[in-house]
Amino acid sequence: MFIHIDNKTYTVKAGKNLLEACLTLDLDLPYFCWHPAMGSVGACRQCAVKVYKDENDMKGRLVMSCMETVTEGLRLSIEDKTAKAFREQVIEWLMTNHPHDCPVCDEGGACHLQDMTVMTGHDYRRYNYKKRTYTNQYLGPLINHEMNRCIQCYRCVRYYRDYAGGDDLNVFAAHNHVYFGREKDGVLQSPFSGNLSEVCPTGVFTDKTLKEHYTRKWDLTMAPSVCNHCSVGCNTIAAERYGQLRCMLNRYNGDVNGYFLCDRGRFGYEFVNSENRIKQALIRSRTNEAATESEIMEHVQSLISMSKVVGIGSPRASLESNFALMQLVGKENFYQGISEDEAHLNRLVVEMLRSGCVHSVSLKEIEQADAVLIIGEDIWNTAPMMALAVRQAVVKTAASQASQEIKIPVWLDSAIKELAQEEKGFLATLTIATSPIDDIATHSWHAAPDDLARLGFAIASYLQPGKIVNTDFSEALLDKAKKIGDALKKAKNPVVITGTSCYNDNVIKAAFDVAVALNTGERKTSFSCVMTECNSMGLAMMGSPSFSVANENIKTNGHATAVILENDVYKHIPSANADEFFNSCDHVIVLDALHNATTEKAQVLLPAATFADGDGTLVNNEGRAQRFFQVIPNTTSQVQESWRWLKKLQTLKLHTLNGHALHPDDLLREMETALPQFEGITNVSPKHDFTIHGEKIPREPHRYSGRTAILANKNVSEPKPFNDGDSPLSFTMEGYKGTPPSGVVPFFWSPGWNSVQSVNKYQEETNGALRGGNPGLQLFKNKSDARDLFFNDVPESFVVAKDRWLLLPKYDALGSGELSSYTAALKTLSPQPFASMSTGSLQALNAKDGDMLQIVDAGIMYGSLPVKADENVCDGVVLVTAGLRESMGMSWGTRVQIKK
Amino acid sequence: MQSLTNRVKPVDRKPMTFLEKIYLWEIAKGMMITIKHFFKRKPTIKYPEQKREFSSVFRGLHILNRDEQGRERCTACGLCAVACPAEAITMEAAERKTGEEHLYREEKYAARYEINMLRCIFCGLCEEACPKDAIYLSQTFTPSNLTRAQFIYKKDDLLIPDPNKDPEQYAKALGDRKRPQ
Amino acid sequence: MGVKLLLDKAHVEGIRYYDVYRREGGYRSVEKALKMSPADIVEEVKKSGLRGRGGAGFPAGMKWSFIAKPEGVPRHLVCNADESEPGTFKDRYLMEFLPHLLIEGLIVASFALGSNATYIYIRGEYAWIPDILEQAINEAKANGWLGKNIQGSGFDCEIYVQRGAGAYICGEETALIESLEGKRGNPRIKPPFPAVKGVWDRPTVVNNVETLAAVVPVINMGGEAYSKIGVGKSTGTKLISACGNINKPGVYEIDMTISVEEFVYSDEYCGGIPNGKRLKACIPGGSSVPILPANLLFKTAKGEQRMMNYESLSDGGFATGSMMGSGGFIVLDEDQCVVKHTLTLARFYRHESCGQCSPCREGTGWMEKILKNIETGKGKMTDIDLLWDIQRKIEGNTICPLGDAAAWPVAAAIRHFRDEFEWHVNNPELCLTQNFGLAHYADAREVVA
Repeated sequence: MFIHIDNKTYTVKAGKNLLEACLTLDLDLPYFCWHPAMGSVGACRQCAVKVYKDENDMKGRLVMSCMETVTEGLRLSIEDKTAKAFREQVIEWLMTNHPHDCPVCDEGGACHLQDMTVMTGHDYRRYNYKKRTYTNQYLGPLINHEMNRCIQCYRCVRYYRDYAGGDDLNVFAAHNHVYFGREKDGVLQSPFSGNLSEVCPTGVFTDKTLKEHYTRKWDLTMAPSVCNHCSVGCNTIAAERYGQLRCMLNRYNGDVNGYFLCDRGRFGYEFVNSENRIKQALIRSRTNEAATESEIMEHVQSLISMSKVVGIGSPRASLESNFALMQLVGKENFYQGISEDEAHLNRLVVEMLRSGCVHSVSLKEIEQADAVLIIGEDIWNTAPMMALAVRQAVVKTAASQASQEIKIPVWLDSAIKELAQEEKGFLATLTIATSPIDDIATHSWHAAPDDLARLGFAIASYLQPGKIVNTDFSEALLDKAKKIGDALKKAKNPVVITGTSCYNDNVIKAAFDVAVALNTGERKTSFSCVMTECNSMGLAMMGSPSFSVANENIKTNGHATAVILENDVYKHIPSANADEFFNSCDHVIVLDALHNATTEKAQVLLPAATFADGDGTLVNNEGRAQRFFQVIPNTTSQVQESWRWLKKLQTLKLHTLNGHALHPDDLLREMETALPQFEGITNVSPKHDFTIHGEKIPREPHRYSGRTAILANKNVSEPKPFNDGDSPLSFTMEGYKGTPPSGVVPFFWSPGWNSVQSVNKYQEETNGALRGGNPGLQLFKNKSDARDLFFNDVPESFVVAKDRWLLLPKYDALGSGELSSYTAALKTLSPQPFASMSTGSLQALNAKDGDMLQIVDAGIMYGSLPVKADENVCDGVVLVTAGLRESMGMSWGTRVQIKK
Repeated sequence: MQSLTNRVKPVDRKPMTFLEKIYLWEIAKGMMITIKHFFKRKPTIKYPEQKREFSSVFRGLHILNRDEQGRERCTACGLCAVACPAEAITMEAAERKTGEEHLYREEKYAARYEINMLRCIFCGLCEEACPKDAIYLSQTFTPSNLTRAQFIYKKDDLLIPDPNKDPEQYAKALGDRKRPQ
Repeated sequence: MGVKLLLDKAHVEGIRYYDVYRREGGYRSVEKALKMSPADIVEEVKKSGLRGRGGAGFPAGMKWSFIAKPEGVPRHLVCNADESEPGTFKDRYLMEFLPHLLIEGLIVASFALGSNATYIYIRGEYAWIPDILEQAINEAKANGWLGKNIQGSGFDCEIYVQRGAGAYICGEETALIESLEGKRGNPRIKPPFPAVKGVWDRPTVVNNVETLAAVVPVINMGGEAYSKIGVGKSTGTKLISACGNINKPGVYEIDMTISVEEFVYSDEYCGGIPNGKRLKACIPGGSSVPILPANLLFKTAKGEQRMMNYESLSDGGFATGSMMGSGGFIVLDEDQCVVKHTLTLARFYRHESCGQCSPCREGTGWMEKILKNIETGKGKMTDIDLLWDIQRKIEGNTICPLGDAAAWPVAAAIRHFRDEFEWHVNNPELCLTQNFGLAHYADAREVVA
């Protein structure tokens, strides 16, 4: 489709609005209320352009470009005098009440309002009256509120309420005194509130954790990173100054997180700066525990050559580190650091996805699904961004149907909203307990895992009769299955989501069966399984036995040295079993970044890098391998990536030191050879020696300040910049200034676009893929000749036992996370550990709400917990908060005794 | 070789005469010039006892200014640092807490502010960039220190004395540049 | 004496009550309409040329014919009784004294549009009127004009009265719909138009009180006959609420054939200016339409006599004309200050802006501040140009017409009374104690004489 802009002809995509078309063509047009993920409402009137009827029309008509669809041969002018004057006037209007406090504003230097003001050319204010002022609110420990800076673009409420489904932020009052905030002071309830800081075009909502150690965007050293706090693997930008991680920003990835992050991901970075970090290698048996690198190498070398070595991998360590450990100890001695139950589930998921019968779904594809079935996973709390994607699917399906009904483009947000009103797309949530996502669900049902699995199988059986053999389903169950099955049948792109958090393989099998049964003909069904940690999938794909097996082996064979990689075993394994393991080991060598219960057991402790001071690759639950890059230059401490420690030990052991520096690329190459399931993993990002015109990609913006002063207080003779040999990124401000390959974009910036909105300039089209394709490498391929995998294990329905309760974990969107809980702000929002049971179960126990209960499993006593009565938990099940700072590993999914 | 310009001056290479060979006359000529200077005005002064008059826009060492109530003007916005062509300024911002209003003028202040005086070229761009009239190049100059590390000026070295507590030192540090406070 | 169609029975004792109203020939139109087909009623209204009496003057029949009729989706009629335009109070009069006339019109219109649930959205400040309406609705119901199976026709209709919270913007039809749905009263972006997706996503027609009341005579006398009253496209009669410096303020029904001069000076209508003062200016159609100075009020720029109808009042466009608007006729005599008057209007529009789009939200507040400065003698000459610049950029660039409504009075005041603004700037002390007066705006009548 051709359009003419200022008498030049351009080709644009049909169906877009003029603003999107202009931005895609790299033309600068200011805007505020439009947001690529949220569409247009035409409220700010900032994006005005002149549109002409035909080439003879000299007068034209002023229109808001975000409200007009492109049409063939359309003539418009951005440079037109009236349009320019109007845009300048709009900024002047918005600026009448803006306090101009940029020097003290956190947004300064990354402010959309600053950019747009400069872009329109407004420089002289004619308004010389008093500005209106507001009282700010306390919005909790994550978000700071400074209402005076507001320019009333309505983006915050549109994001918070319409996009993220929150209801405690709203717009109040009217005329030139509208107020965006809560009804009264209080913590913002949505776990997606952090995005307000990026959605707000100016400094009304800002990152409160950044305030603790504020740095201007231009002063940050930034590197592409991947979130560590759940299995979704959102792309982030880690930002450093003065050796400290200062903040996390969203890194657009059109296939994964898009423009947003959850609060756990955005704010859970403080563990990197924690007091609790291990910075020094220790040999606990010596009087002087601190050891130099050569000492520790020698010591470890002697330990691992003395006896049999067992390696315990980690679902939160990178692929490189896990593989380096596998190489060091040998494939047969490498174990996953998780319980057998969890490992079994993870293996099952890998088997399902590797089969290639159903598509492994990305978040973007979930957003575009027209029906969603969730079985057995509380994704709101275990994978918040996936819940946000499901919400979009549900809301947008109705919207796109409405827009087809009467010809209204999908980006016309306000009109679509009016059309769709309360209509929703299909979502069924079949989970153990209620979740906030149930609010938008068409059907939600809460039952014990086995019953959920039975319903799943019943749906599969309804969709493809005859495939399931044992069909002794009750009438009520069949009725439910029919309702859900009928709705799924109508869909063109249904998605089935499940997860490992109810520790029941039948649930996952049932969900998979539904996906397979649906995947017929034209219908393209996708499947997703949420896992527990950021690299659970990567570890599972390595296909090693679980910790429980390691424990058995050591018990029978005895005498072994254990090397434990970035894993707090006590978080995964009941403490009695873990103690047993450590007692039977001769020596325990631990590599980790933070002190925890496991590092207490270490005789030798090696300081490992976190995601911020090391490189590595993670595989998310979709099977997408994604590379993260070091952002904190390490010049003084002994901290280094675990794989580097392990690789050094290996070269010492094998005497193969050849003087070459070791790169993650080399490890991935070795991994590809050793483990064929990781085929292609070397292409996950540009190699370490990648350059553009001989230049590396700078981690620092060209305005980076204080280069000769920043370290001057430590060393007057200015050390040379830290040399990063592991990646195509450099630790300086010099280097290639253009758009780097999508996987190694350290920050978003473009001339005139200093704020996060500059991401437009990195995309092929607005809201589309990054230039050169979205980063990440999908390891699971859809196979047309896939072996038809189908499970037939319909479990018996759940029977409430008299004195035994099924123990299941209950996660919290903000509080759960071994590492994120080190952020003080998140810790304050995290609940205290508790157990919840139905009133029926409580009566059976003769207990009441608030009593302290003790959970006992096969003689193992867990600490006592207060109990809460919860109507939505089914009888016979006890839910215990999991993943909190205080939480320890429990035998999830087993029947336990409970004592008062 | 052909000359490239027409400004070539051919050198006269004829042999010296007897008078020129004995040099006496030339020595006398040189002595005359020397002796003439005994009677001229002295161009040097007895620094540091005596000091020269400076232009009112002389750019000396930096000061961090305070307002009339003695509060720090700097809000650690970072504009001086980003303007500095020598990249010699670095700072860390902190939030003003309640009860500190008498110390800091606005809600943010510089918890740390350092200038690497070994790198500074005294161009004054920091002064021009400052939106809060907080940093000035004063008329103090020639700092002397025993170690190089001492030339990394901290906030204590830069901050002007409080005009209310120590008006004399304040005026001295400010120099005779009439600045709005 | 002009034709009276709406107010002819207004002064009958007890006309507010059903018995009297029925005795005086009320509800005849319902009886007639129920025998017709809905399409015929729409056709009849179309023929009558009845134009929306809310302000925009859009033909009512056309509006009705646009309503979408999807299968199985209820349709709604909403009566816009959110009469908040300063200077307009004709709907209040109708509802207060002739509630059954409105109910009658509503029943006919509901039948024509197929609305089984009809709403009256009434301005919050009219606190006592919902009671009157509800009483009338109950009376009508008791007599079988509302509820199930009206008069045995098989048509069901309920009328609900919904009170607004006193926002001017809720008089805009889409904002009204939002407010009716219980949301924040922000105007919607069109399309979708209410006729397709209105209240609760259903096809909706929103009409002014007077328009719906006028449906009664249209049906009673037939569209053809109705269209013969009045002149040109301004058919039927129009209620004018006259106020300001006149001897007889009140609501008048005119048949659009009289001249403005007659309306102001005849004893039948406004009865002239009190105390022998001279006319300075007039806003002929409610606060948002352009103000006209005396010399342009009675005669158009072409020198023709200006009549009280849609076409004649807007003759000359905004440069020398104005609009019929909602019929709020505000007269200013020589003692009134145009700057102060404009400030009052600007303050009103600033306060009533919903705060959604920038030009209106920020522009109205700024205009008010500038006008206040000029009014209190603190203005500068550049302020007048600034004011002009701001209003020009608001006009036509907002989501809903409130921006235009706020810009027009300011524009017209500067256009016609710039010398008065300048006088305020040049005489900062004097303007506090004295008025500019008439200056060269001679009373048109004097010029003629």
